[in-house]
Amino acid sequence: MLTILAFILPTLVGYAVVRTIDRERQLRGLEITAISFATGSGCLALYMFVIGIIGVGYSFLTLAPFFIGGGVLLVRAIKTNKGEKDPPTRRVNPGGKQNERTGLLRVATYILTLLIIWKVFFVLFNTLSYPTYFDDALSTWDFKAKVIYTLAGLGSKGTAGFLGGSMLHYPPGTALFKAWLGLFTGMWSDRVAHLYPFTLYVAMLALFFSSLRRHVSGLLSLLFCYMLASVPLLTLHASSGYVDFIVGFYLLCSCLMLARWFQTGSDVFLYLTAILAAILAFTKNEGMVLFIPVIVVTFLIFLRFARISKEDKTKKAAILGICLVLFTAPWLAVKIIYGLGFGGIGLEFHPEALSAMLRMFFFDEGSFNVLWAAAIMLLIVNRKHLTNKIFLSYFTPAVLSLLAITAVFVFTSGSQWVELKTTAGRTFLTAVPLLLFSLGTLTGLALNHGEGKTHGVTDLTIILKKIKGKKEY
Amino acid sequence: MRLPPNLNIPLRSILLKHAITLMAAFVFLAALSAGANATQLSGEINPQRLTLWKYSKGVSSARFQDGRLIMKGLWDPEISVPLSLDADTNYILSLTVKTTNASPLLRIRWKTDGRTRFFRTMEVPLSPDTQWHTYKFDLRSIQDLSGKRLWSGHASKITLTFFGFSDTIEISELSIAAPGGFTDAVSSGWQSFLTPSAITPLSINHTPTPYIFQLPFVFLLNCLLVLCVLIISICCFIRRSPEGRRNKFSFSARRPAIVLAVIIIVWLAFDLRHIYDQAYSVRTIKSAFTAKAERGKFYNLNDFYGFSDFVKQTLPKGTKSFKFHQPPGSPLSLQMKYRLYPTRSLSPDSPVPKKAIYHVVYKSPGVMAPPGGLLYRGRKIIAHGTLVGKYDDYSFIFKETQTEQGQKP
Repeated sequence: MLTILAFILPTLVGYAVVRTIDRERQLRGLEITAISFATGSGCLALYMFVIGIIGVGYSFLTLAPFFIGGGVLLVRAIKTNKGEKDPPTRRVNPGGKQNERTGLLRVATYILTLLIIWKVFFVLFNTLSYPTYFDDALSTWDFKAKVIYTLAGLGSKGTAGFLGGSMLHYPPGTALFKAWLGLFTGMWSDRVAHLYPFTLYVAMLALFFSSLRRHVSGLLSLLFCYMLASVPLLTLHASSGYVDFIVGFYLLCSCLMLARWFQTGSDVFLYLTAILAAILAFTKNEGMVLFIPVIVVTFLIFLRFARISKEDKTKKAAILGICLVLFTAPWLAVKIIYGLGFGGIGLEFHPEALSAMLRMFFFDEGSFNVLWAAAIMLLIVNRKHLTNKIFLSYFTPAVLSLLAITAVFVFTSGSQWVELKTTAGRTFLTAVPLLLFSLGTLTGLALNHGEGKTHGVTDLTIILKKIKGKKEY
Repeated sequence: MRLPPNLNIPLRSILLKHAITLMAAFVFLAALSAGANATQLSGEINPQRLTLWKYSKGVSSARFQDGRLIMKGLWDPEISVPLSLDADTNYILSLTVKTTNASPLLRIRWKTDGRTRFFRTMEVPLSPDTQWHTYKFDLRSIQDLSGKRLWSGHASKITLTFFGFSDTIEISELSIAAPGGFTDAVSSGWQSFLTPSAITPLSINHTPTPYIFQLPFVFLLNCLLVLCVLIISICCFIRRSPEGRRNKFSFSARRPAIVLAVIIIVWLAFDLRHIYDQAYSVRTIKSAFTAKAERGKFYNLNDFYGFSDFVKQTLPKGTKSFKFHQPPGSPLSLQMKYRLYPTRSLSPDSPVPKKAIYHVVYKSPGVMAPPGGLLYRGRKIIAHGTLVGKYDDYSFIFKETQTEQGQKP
């Protein structure tokens, strides 16, 4: 019971934050639930970091203000939204005459649902069966969490337990939330700690399905959701003590919010992008070094093509910039003050890493099923829709992420990790959810194109009007 | 020839006894059977062959009985078999084995072409049901990181490692041979495909693909996918027409749906095979929990987690550190550091702290505490004290009250 509560409380705070920002209730249902947990757990970790670094220990008294503040926001959000009607759900109708569910489609739906249930069960079984097992989880991620839990704080500089006592330059985001789970339940348990990535796995599937459902039919959303759930390496990471999958989750969240901003013009999504990107940076160093730049570059590309005044563009850039800096400042400040660095590697050129990667993707590893070949085939076959703005709003950050990851292995000494088949697989895993999402939208566009118009989300005129400003819309 | 059974005396004397026996048997039988063909590896276990096999320190005892080898393991017992085989012709390894391990894992390594290094191979989960099973592996499917086949040329040795502790392993058949015919070749290629992979958190960097007829299954599916899309595209090109472009039910208009259907089928094919691995993994771990003494076992980590819980419960509260004696070559110090934090786990040779010293011993051969208040490492007394807790015959906690020089800490 305590364990369930340990997850619910941060989710409620996350919900309060999201609702305070999103007064028009543009996020609802599974989407807001998933985003609430992502936001709440990340904000809790940030709060614990801030009070911990100034020497405050973790106790009921010191953690209560976070939840009290969340409660106040929640009450205000409920009062403000009371009586307002929800805006109509924007869903894709795949053509008026195909509303009848054929027997085949129904069977397909059941099969896909059963397969997803099996995957969730397998992840949960592993979560509850295996204690912390291997390498980085033992020496870094779970170890930091256990140290923080044991000390009920971040320790002080020079002590063995400072910032979790191991690999100080690694962000303690996930370790802090796992420590919270231990503190709230009153004991350290590997299995409880690993319920965190499991919950993120379920949240990711929920978010993926509900967000994709806005653009494509229910069956297609379910199909791509199944493909995501069944990526072999992802099902393993969702029950391990590693953070690569968590990085992928937050990358997906922040890029989905950024794409929503591009599609709707609403600043709500810009704020959420910044918060989620900051949590991403607080999860692993790659978040700060690789994926924040990807998000910023994507934003600048979107801004370049947005038909709004220069003044508005400056305002949007300021919103994202200030929020990003605000939420990443604590961790950045600690890195600078204590000289922690990012664990740099030397710049070198290793073109042989490309052939090793091709072998990894297409020949001798089952980590990603046939994802890479399927991606190429879908892009080629549906090339007519490659310039669609909806698709590009998801595909752009996906491609940039993949390029950034590839660059790490080709242009640095990190190429050895491809040759040895170690880090490379799980680094590419971080971009998989976003890539699959973009392929889902592309497929939906291609399948709907020959069957008549969809509800206006693919209508460029309406999109441009929305970016200009709500009044005109 | 019958080898001596296991005896409950210090390990060093057991190993010495076996080494002498094996050596004597080897010399005797080698003299008698000089003409026997001991270079090929085929079929039924017989005492002649056993004398040429080398047993690692992890083997507590080994004997021949009723046409099978019965091996009592200590920690990850290993047997090495000398060979003289043409690996390109003989590549089907057949093994009939039974083990008492609840989550058994077998590792196969070999030497070929005069190389002095062993090559790693895949680790194969065996059946946890403690019954006889015959396994067939096509050794040609194992490749190194650059894709080069490892089983080729002249094979001079093969080593089988059965991960686990204190298990009884019985082998009734071990052979490496050429396939008997087309049917046998097809059957062994198919058998490789059906051999499940061990899915454990060790697979954190990549998950393996099954092999079918020496080719990676994922590669075959990728080729199939590309081929199907190519055929579909060619059909679209051949059947193209201005009317077809306008007709939403034409082949061209349906091409995206057809390609998606192909992708789904191919994806499902791989995933269903992967679900087989997952289901096998669930079954193995589940049975490890329902096995004897309710001690969960996790492949190569054996029952370490249960032992670490025992240590946490047994060490007095406030214990700052202890010396950890672990099996040689095992990676458990990191595990112990994490599991017992904040109590520090020190290596056995760490400097002596001032307070009472605890020695935590986990299946470490040669570290024994027989009655008498002495802790031995091999034949050397390393501490005087008392046994404060016993997990099994080879895992215990010893509280040191004097050093071997008789000085109090």
